[in-house]
Formats: sequence, C-alpha cells, structure tokens
Amino acid sequence: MLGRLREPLPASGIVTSGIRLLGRAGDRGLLYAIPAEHLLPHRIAPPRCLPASQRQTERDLLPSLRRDYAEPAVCVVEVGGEDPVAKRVEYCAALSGAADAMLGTKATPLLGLAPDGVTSVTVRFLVAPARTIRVRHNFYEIADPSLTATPCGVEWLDGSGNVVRSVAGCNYQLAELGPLDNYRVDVVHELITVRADVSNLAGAVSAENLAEAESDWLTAHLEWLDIGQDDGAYGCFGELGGEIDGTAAGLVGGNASGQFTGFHKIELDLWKDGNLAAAAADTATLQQLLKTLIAIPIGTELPGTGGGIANWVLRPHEVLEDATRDTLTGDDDYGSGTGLASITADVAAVSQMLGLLAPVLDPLAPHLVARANGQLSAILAAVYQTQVDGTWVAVSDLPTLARERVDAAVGAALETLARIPDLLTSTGNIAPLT
Amino acid sequence: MSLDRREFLSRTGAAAVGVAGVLGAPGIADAEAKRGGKHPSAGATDPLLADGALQTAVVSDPSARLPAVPFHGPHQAGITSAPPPAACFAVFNVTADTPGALIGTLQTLTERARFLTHGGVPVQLGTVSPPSDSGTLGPDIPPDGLTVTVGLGASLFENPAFGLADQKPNRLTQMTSFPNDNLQPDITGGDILLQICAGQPDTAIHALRDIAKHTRAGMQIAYRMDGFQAPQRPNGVPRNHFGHMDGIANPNVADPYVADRLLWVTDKTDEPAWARGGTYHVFRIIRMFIEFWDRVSLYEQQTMIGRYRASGAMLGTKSITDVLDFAKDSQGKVMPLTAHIRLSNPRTKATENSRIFRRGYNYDNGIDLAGNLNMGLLFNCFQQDLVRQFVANQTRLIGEPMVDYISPIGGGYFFAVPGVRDSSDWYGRRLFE
Repeated sequence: MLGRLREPLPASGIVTSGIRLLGRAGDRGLLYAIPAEHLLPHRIAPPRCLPASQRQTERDLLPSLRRDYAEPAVCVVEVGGEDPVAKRVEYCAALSGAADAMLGTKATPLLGLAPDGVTSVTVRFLVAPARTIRVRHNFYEIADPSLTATPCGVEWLDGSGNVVRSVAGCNYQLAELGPLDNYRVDVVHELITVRADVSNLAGAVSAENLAEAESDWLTAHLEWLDIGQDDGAYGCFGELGGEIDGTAAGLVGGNASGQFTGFHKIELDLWKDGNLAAAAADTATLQQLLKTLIAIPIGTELPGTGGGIANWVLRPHEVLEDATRDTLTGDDDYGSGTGLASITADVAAVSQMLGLLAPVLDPLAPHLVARANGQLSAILAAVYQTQVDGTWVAVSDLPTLARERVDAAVGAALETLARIPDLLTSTGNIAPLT
Repeated sequence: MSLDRREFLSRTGAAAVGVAGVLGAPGIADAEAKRGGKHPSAGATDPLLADGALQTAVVSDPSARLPAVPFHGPHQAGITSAPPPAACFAVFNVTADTPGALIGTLQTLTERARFLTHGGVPVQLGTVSPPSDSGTLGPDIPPDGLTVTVGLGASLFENPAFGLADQKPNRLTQMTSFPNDNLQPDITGGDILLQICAGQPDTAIHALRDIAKHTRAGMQIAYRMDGFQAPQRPNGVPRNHFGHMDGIANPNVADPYVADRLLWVTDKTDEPAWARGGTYHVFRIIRMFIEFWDRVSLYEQQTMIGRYRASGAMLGTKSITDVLDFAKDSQGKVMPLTAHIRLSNPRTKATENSRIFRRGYNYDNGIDLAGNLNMGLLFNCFQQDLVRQFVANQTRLIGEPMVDYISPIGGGYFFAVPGVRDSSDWYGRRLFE
C-alpha cells in the first residue's frame, strides 16, 4: 500500500448498495468492488487477547478506530487470479476519511481508486516510463504481464489532462541505487585523503613556509570539493559541513567571528592576513572537525543527516548552483583567487554523481546524461582557458569574455541538470482537490 | 525598476520607430535619386530636416497620477496606506554634529516632505539662481500619492553628539546577522531611513533629489534601493520575482484593537513617551536567486512557500482567501511543516502576538559578477515590538528550505517616528523636548 489520503474521497461510481464487477485483472482474475460496512483493513482484537503494552495502544487508538468503522467502506476483491497464494486478494478503503491512493504495489495487476472528477491517472514507476490510464467507475487498473517495474507514484488527472493532485510521489531511496554504496566508500577514502592533505598543510604552516602552505591548502581544498560539499552544499554533513567549508556569511561579526572556521578561514589567514599563527590554530581546528566527521560511522547514510545524502545525490545540479551563487560571484574567495580551480572539482563531483545515476536516468530521459556530460566538459574547457601560464586567475580579475564563457558553460549545464530531481522524485503539479 | 524599464522600453520603442522613419527616408531618397526621381513631399520642408511625431511614453498620462496622501496625523503615512507602485528606499548617515544641526536637518526634511506630498508650484528664485526645483515633474508638482516615511536607526541614538541615548526605543539595536544572512557592510545599518513611495518612479526620485538637495550638510546617502509593486496578475496580491504572491496575509491593522496590539507603540507599551504613535520598521534587502528558483519544479516551489503559484491559495485550499486549518494538518501532509508561510505565521494563539505587518517591494538592480540577475525583495515590516514580532518570526524561519534561493544582504532596524501632527510639528520633535 502506498500513499494514504486523509481527506474525503467522494466516489459516486462505486455504489455502496451492491457488488460491482470492475473488470478482468491481468492475471485472469476478476475484480469486484464490494461495499463493506465493516471490512476495513485493521480489526479490533478483543483487548483481553493482547499483551498489556498493546492493550494501552489499542485503547488509545479506539476513538479513531470507531470513527473508521462508522464509515462506509469498499473493498476491491480479486477472485481467481493466477497467483496460487492469493486466490482472493482484498484491498479495502473507507469511502470517506481515508482511502488508499494505490491499492496494489505489484507491477501487475496494478489497481487503485480515484475520486469523482478524476478521469485518468498517471502512474509512475521506478526505472520505467510513466503510464497514463483511464479511470472508470472511480477505479483504475494496469494489467500488463510485461510490466515488471515497481510503481511508486500516482497523479490524478481531470478531463482536460491537468494534474489535479499528485497523490503519491516516487522518491528513489538508497536501495534503488546500488552503486551508491561504492560512492559512500569513495567518500570515506576521499575524507581520509583530505585529512592527510590537511596534515601536510599543518606541517607547512608550522614550518612557516607560506608558499608551501598555500599550495597545500589548495590541494586539500580541491580534494574536499571532489566530494561535492562546497560550502556545506545541501547540508549532507550537517553543521559540520558548514564548519569545514562554510563562509562567514550569517555569522555575527563576519570574518572576525570566532565561529568562522574551516578552509575559508585558513584561506583568509594565509592570503589576506599573512598570519601563520592564526593559520596554525585554524588548521588545528580543521583537523579536529575532519576527525569528528570521519569518526561518525557511515552506515546507510553519510554522517550528519538522515536522508540528506539521498536527497543530495538525486540533485546533482545543487553543486553547480552553489558554485554559480558563491564561487562565480567571487563571494567565497577569501584571497586565494582559486575559485576557478574549485569549479573543476565541482565538475568532477557532478560527473561522479551523474555516472551513478546514469542507469536510472537513461531509460527515463534518453540522451540527458550524455548531453550533461558534454556540457560538463565544456565547463572544464572554458575554465582551463582562463589560466594564465598555468596559474589560476581570481574570478573577479578575469577578462569579461573569459568570465562570460565560464558563466555560459555552467549555466547551460545547470539548465540540463535541473531536470534530474523531477525525473527522480515526485513530480507533477499539486492543486486543490476539486 | 520595471516601471522605469517599461517607460524606457516604450520610449526606445518609439525611438526605434522614429529612427526607422528617419533612416527610411534616405533609403527612399537614395532610390529616388538613383532613378532620378524626387521625394513625394518635395517642395515642402526638407524631409531629412523635419522632425517626427513627439515621443510620448505610454504611462505618461498626467491624469494617472495618484491623489495626495494626507501628511499630518498621529502616525506617519506610508505604513498602513496601500503601497503605491513605486518606492525609493534611501538610508542616510547623519553628518550634523550638534543637536541643533540635527534638529535643523529634521525640520528641513519635514518641510520638504510636507510640500512634496501636498504638491504645488515650487518657489521661483528668479534668473540669478539655479532653479529651486529639478523640474523633472514639470512646473507644477503633482502629489502622486507621495509618502515620506522616516525611521531612525540605533546609531543615531548612540551618537554622543546628540545626547539621545536615553531616548532610544527599548528594542532598537543595530541589525545583526541571522544564520542564513549574508549582510554586506556597505548596505547595512545607517542613521535615517527614508521610505519614499509614490504612484510613479519619477515622483519618488524627484522627492529624494529634492530632499537630498535641501539637507546636504546634515545627512548623506549611505545606500539606496529602488523598488516597485508589480501589477495584479491577474488579480489578488502582486507577485514577487519567484512568481508567487507574497505577503498575502497581513494582520487587519484597520481595526484599532489590532493596530494597538501589533503595530503602534502606545501608552501601554514599554517605550519612551516620545515614541507613542511610532512603530519599528525593519527594512531588509533580500536577494532572490531567480535562475536557481526557475530550475526547481513547481511542486517544490509550492511546498517551499505553502501556496499554489497560479492562484495564491494556501495548499489544500481553493481560494486565496481560504485558510488551511493547521491544527487539522498537524503532520504537515497537506502543507509541509517547513513551508515558509507556515513557519512565519503558524496561526496559533501562542504566535498571534508575533504577527508582523508587511509592505514589501520588488527590486531589480542589474547583474552580479556571475552574470545572474540581481533581483530581490525589499522586505519591509512594521511592528510594535521588534523582538517579540520580527525577530521571533525570523528565528522561526532559520534553515527553512527556501534559504538556498534567497539571501538577505543588507538593510537595518529603524524606528519610524510618530506622525507629524500639524503645520508646526516636525519629524521627531518630541524626542528633543
């Protein structure tokens, strides 16, 4: 069972006075709608049969159970299907108060109820194109033995084909993205490399070698950006991400705030202030922050947030959105003038995520990944062209045309990448239920 | 500003026609000359010397100017009055360095605002002086709904030259950064905020130009932003740059019961006596990353804001005036608990006294270094108690999903002084008694 609704489901096509044959299920079973005053999915067990703990729960639930039972219900019953285990399958829903958006979660037969005014539904699948089918008598069904994809979302459409409501959305979970495990392992390895790079930085700072410290800083920062967490993008590492690579924006006191930590603070120490003592203290802080981050066990999620990583990997445009907002404006340049080097690392991160998503995206939107990859290459070409004698030029110092070429390439890639979250997550246009 | 721009476009459109006309003539003349012919109007004036029709802007109809908004009253104009289409927000630093010089500046400011909001013919200085008026509104200045709303910043009260520290409103401070802010020092803070609103941009800018001319020694513009109200599209509340209707739900301050509890400092408020009839004015320049926003699905946009984009109705409702019962949606299934409108106004008994009265304007200010359009919201809200209302609201919004798409970059906290009561009164007079 997927999404449950909490508003009335006026469905006049299903009469509550008699049994109605809805049609033939794909596996040769017959589907009937059966009005049922007291056939709701949950049953009230006699309290004496329950352990004490559940008895209390049951007592708490009683008011809502009584309310549900007072309402007319309808069950869709499949009789005589091929599935030997399920000769008689019941899906039940109250006609008002609560109803299931989609009654079956099998690929086929897939069935569900829809309220009056909904003349067709679009069913979305994990890794398969969406299908739009007609609704008859408030009921819809897809019977197609060739269909193996898992349904995950339903949109109700009115007579003009407008989305009346996005009832349930497809949200790709980590389980659907096997290669994500590889990615997590990569992240762990990258973090360990960052930690080694930052140790080198600490060594150069304590040796009071400014030039080497600056070089080590850039190496470490680019390694960090390879993970795709510029300025704490999308909060996958929670507050730690912001402390490791955030800017002073939002801190009371700005650059002088004691809460300003991480790569950009060290950048300020080295390039703008030439203050190696401050750099030493701030590098020690950064080492501590990385240690904290690495110590968090990486299980099903990256550390820091529950679900954040799933959201973020599904949104590969976020990395470059942050780049255009913070890096290409010069906003996160605290003196090193290496914003364009950061862009190359951002592109690498996006590219890695695209590779991860390609098997899922290719069936949904052929050519999208290929086009995006071409546009990412164009970014790199434009960015490397800005180098002068192999060194980076600050964004704010670029000749106008060179800067515009980078902006154009990033902007074009973003317009392509922006389609991906919609392809992978709930889509459609929520609107009032009419 | 879009009105500027529209006017500009219509002018350039007219200009383009004019140019085409003029350029067309030599083309024809050349052809005629090659064929040995003459222009049809030959014999009259030289067509290459003659002028085309006068260029007039589509929106220049003088009768479209708004009537005057009364200047005198217990409260300043420009707060509860309906926001007209154009606005100019200018923040000044005071250069006067004695109480007398400050008083003189405030009196001059009052005189100019009184005259400009009423309209009339500027004084004639004769031919031996530059004209008294810029002339940009013509010889007879129309009121055009002009309001000049004056707010004083904490720094003015804290300036030892004026001895006003004891009179500072109790909640007034410098605006400090919220976690999602990115305040730029050159457009943050300031001593005096002038909110100049009018029916047309030229009226607002004319007023700013006049006031700056008459107060040059006493105060200098630190930063300014021009704003505009979009027309209704197609109806209801004007849309912001995100395409959404913004600031729909304001408390009903037309009801004195509400206004005395949410908007004005009264004799029951813990504030200096001079401040009665005034209100805290929060002015925030909020950049909106419209390119990023335009790359987000409508579904996400609507769940971030909490309203349908097309109609402006709250999610789960049909009309812009419908109110979703949050108590019945305590799980956030109809409207996410993190939706902007739900966080800012939870519509509970506990939060009702933190409601703010908003009066925002859109701004449009060129591009940033990355070539993105520099557009956003000039957020304005007025309230009886800065901390209990605005700060509480903004604290609830920390980390809301929309923070990726917006960035507060400047502005400040000000205290909008009580109204100028009559022709002998002036802005802030009771402050010096």
